[in-house]
Amino acid sequence: MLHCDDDDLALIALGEQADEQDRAHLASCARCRSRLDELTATVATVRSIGPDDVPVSPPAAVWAAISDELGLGSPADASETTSVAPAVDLAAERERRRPTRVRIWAAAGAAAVVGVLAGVVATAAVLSAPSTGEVVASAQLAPIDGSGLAGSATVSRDGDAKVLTVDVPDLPAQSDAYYEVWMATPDTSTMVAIGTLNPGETGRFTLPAGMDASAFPVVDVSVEHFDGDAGHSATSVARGTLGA
Amino acid sequence: MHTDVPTAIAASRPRGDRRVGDEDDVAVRFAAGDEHALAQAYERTSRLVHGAALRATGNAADAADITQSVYVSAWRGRAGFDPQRGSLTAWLMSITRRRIADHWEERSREVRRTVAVAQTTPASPVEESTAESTVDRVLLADELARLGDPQKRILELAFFQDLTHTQIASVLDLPLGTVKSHIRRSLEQLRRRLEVDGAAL
Ligand SMILES: [Zn+2]
Repeated sequence: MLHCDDDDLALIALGEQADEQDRAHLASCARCRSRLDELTATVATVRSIGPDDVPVSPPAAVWAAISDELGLGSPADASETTSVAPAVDLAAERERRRPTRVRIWAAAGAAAVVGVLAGVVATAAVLSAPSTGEVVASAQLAPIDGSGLAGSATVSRDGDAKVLTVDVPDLPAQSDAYYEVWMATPDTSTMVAIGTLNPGETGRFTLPAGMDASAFPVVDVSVEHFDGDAGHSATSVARGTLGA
Repeated sequence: MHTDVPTAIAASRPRGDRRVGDEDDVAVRFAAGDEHALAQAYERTSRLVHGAALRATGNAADAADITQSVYVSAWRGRAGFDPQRGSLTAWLMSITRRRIADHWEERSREVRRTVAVAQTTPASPVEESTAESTVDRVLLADELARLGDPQKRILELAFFQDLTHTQIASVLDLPLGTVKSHIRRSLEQLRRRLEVDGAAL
């Protein structure tokens, strides 16, 4: 039996018109209907994601309470990491393994979704002609760890919104990686994903409405690999601090 | 149209097999009673568990209690977890759904006691289904954030700007077939995230 193409089912789930053949098949095939139902439910859930639907790390006291209640870390292995909050240890381990990388995921909850939403806004901004408003801050981006990549960033007003413009002229295209623009606190302990920077293009990103841009003066461009793993942080290629 | 082939499923496995491998390893050691694996599972998943609990209850103390209870009962009930049958994350999220539902049930019992309503009313199914979908939304927000480009951009346009795959291909200047297969693979990846483990504690 010929079933519907999985590509087609995905598009139908997103709301595109099914063609005659798919419609006829779906009317008679429970397997394809049930696949479509699952994909449609997934689409509906994604479209209902709100700004508060984000992963949020629990306070350190929660792990301490779990460890305490379960009596973890007997005296025999007191040096084991299980006796302390694991996030601390594993983060430290990451730092050791990748000394040049930035700790992004401390703020991953909010940052990640801000990244998704900012991407949408940024795309919209590119589709309409971007207006060049008054520049309120600018930065020179200097190469990090001998990347040889330098550039510039500005924050300008666009009506009530603020727009971050990032230009790194010699960004090389990579088949297995892409570039992400971040804004960070001065100590880079908290970073917010702003959007993707394509080689050969100037990135224009409308900053999220609730974001206090002055609290995130550091503009950072990083290489992100397609490993699908949020637990891995990124290598920075260029960075600068916004000033008036 | 194509015939029903298992290769279609194999081809849609997520990128980043390394992550899947790591997860499998942690899951096996967790099931075997390795405390370090519990700590690693906590480090990887507590943002999801706690984020969903926080969103569902809107209360930091309740969210902390639920999070604690999820990992305590998962560890004590680890004999009921079979790494062959599903991922540790899916199992933990199923427990989270259950704990959030318990929370609402308890809350509505308290309300009934307080208000001293004579006739018992069942726990609100609206609240429970909200709790259920809260876990799903947080899981999918996390999975979306993990996507790299161009998948991320493609999905943003498809989900939030309602562009058709033809429009997306032209906006991003990508071949139609590439856009279609990215949409199918990413959507499949998101759907898999919602798979539940029925044996939750
Ligand atoms: Zn079929």
